[in-house]
Amino acid sequence: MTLSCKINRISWEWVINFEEVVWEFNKTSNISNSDTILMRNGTGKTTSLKLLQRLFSGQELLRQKGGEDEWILKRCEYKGLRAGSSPEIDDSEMGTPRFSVTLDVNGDEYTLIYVFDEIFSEAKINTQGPAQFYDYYKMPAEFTTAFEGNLAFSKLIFVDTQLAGRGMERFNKQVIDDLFLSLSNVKVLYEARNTRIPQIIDDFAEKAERSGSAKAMEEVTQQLNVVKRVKRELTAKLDKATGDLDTAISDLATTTEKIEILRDQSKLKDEYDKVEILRNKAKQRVTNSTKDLLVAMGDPQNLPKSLWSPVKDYYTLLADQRIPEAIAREYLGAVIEGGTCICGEKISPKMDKCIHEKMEKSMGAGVLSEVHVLKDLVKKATPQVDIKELKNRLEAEITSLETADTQLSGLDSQLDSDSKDSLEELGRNEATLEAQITELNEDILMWSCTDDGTIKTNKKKWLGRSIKTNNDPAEGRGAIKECKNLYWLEQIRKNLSKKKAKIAGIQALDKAGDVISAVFEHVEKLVLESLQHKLKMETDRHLSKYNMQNELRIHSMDQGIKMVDGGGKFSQEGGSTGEELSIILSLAEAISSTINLTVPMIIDNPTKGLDEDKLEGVENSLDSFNHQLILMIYGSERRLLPNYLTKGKTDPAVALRESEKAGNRSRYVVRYGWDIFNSYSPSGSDSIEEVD
Amino acid sequence: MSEESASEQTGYFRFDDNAKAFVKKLKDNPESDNIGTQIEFYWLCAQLGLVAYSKDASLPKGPPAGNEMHGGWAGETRKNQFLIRAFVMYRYLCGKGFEDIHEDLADDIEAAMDGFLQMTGTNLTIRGMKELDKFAQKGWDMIHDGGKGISRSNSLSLFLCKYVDLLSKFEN
Repeated sequence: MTLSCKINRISWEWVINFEEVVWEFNKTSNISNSDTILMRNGTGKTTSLKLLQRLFSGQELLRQKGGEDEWILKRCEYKGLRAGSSPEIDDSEMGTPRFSVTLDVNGDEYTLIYVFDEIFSEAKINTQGPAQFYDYYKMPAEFTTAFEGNLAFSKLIFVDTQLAGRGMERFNKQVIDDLFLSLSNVKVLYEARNTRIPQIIDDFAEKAERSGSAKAMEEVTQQLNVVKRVKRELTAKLDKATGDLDTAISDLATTTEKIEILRDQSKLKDEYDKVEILRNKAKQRVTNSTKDLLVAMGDPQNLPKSLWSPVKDYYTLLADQRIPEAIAREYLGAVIEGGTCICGEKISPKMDKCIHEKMEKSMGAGVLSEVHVLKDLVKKATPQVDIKELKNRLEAEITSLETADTQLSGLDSQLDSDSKDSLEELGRNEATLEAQITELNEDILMWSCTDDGTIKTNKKKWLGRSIKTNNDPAEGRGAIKECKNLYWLEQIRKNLSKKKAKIAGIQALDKAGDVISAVFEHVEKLVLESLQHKLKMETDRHLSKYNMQNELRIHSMDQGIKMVDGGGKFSQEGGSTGEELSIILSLAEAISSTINLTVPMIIDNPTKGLDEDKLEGVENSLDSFNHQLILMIYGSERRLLPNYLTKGKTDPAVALRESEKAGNRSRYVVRYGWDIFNSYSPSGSDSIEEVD
Repeated sequence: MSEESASEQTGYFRFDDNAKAFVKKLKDNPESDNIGTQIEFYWLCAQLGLVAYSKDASLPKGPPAGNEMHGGWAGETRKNQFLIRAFVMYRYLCGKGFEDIHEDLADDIEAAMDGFLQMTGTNLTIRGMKELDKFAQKGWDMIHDGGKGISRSNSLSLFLCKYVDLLSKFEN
């Protein structure tokens, strides 16, 4: 697959806050591959990002679906000049609401357009190709292979930083597997074995002359219908929960930022800054020492000497004279057969008897080969760390953290009563959102988990009566309805399909389907493994130019992206926003160099929720990226990326109303160049309530 | 060769539901660091049980069916699995009356080991896994201590400090 894709233009027509606005890439220069669009808070950056993610993947929007679709459509509703105490236009002056992106795809220009209905209850996709217009999503094959139906991929490259720092959730197994399936061109095989082949066999079963009874056929058909219905329900729940999760994470980031802003706006800002720096450092030390102690405690050789030495002593005596029978027989048999003892003397009858006796005594069980490995390792085992010293260090660090927490609470208590109330309310919101996120993650895992062990571990809640006591899939209609896991539901479907094929007398066809599916799966596996291997190496190569903490690198990609430190000792679950950005940027570059797929990247609010000490990392990451990069920022982010937002590195643009005077507001326009970029200051507050 | 080892066996470790809930409690606390995988906590419990056994030589029953845990060595236990097996087999053999090793006991000891170790999966037979389950249960019972134990800790850092203290009580 060769795809070179670049964004040329983005247009807004009567959506969010925009009247008719067009932004063009590299409008004023082409010295860099990066553009930065500045918009005041609340204009619609995040909504635009979400629209782009969905346009690329060909997903039409329907408010009835709820979840993210509803959230996006609500936000898209045009407010602009018809909102406020002195609206400048009335509804009749509005044009048709549209949002579009114009792309260069392998040298041809395509425009993907969202057309909204009047009440923003839905958005349909139209496509303007190089020569023809389509009232549906119609992009070239190279593009659809990577993007169509692959929202996870467009979410990966069009980055909403509010979702960063959540334990690398962005890189989970589902996202990465889907990405690789699409990129390696084997999605068609996956679809064939999971949908098309079962469908063909089912169709044949319906038409075949039955060898079983009509009643049995009717029953299994009904059971399969229940499976289909449950699958639809679970898939819908999963989709909704995934959207809700993004929204909750976004809300949480906003709430956390509101807390920061509330503290920053108080008279105690300097004190807060000092204590927060202390707290962050103390927290980091606690995290590091906790990891160290956890690793140390998991290793038995670090136990206090008096607890471990009895084990060590025991193994020095265990199987002292014994080796596996086959080895004893072969080794000592060879000595006897050779006629010369290991000391070099010719074997006499007396020696022969002696060796035979030794052989008999030495002949132990086969398991001794494993025991000798254990013996060797126990013998070599020596404490690697002093766990008591580690524990004392950790205790001291916990005390420092508690002290910083107390200082922070002390400062909170000095705020005026209104701020204190707001802070308490925000704190409660934060806790509620954290709980909501945990719950959504648990539900998503329940519906989507494909690991047999994990599924069976949770069988009471996840499978109910849909698993029999012998751990086989159940088939009763009532039992199937209790299944809450899509993977298990598929096992039930497979069993029922087999049964149906048998009743229909088409077992041979069913077996042929199994064989073809197995071949497809094998091909998929080989292709995916190869791609994973290449991409891992390439991503690591690109990652090495980013300034990663602890020389973080990719450990594996088969269970989502797992990271490990440079020493290969600590696996890392989460990452800072800067680290996540570096991984995404490296992955995008690796994809480009490995499979000739060059795609644009957009980053919304690159500094949002970031501690000042992380900003340099983000700047380095942006600076090291070689493909098309579009940043969408709001006013106060300008001062946070001073080394990146400079001439030669990015081309700036500002979307603004030249007059913001109430009752006399002008329409939105885009202005280009450093003068306007540096001098623009939006009137009114840039308050967090308006962040979008 | 004993009957159990005639063919390689597959099974799941079993772990008390309350112990699993403790891992989840830490995971749900955004202020706490996390135990990487459930089996890493299972091993911490088992290690405590193995150490504590030296004092009272008592073992509870392992958790019944329905408490299966996502199988196999994972996280740090993958790296430490040899010493883990060595430790639990030491206790198992001592419990079988092989505290002192004599040449003439060699066949009996090896038969016991053969029923305990295998060459695939976790390298423990189902008997071996069940034995480790009992030590994990013993350790968890001490950690939980009827709701008054160190499992009341809300963060991994506090828990680990208390765990080291608890373990140290068994030093000579």
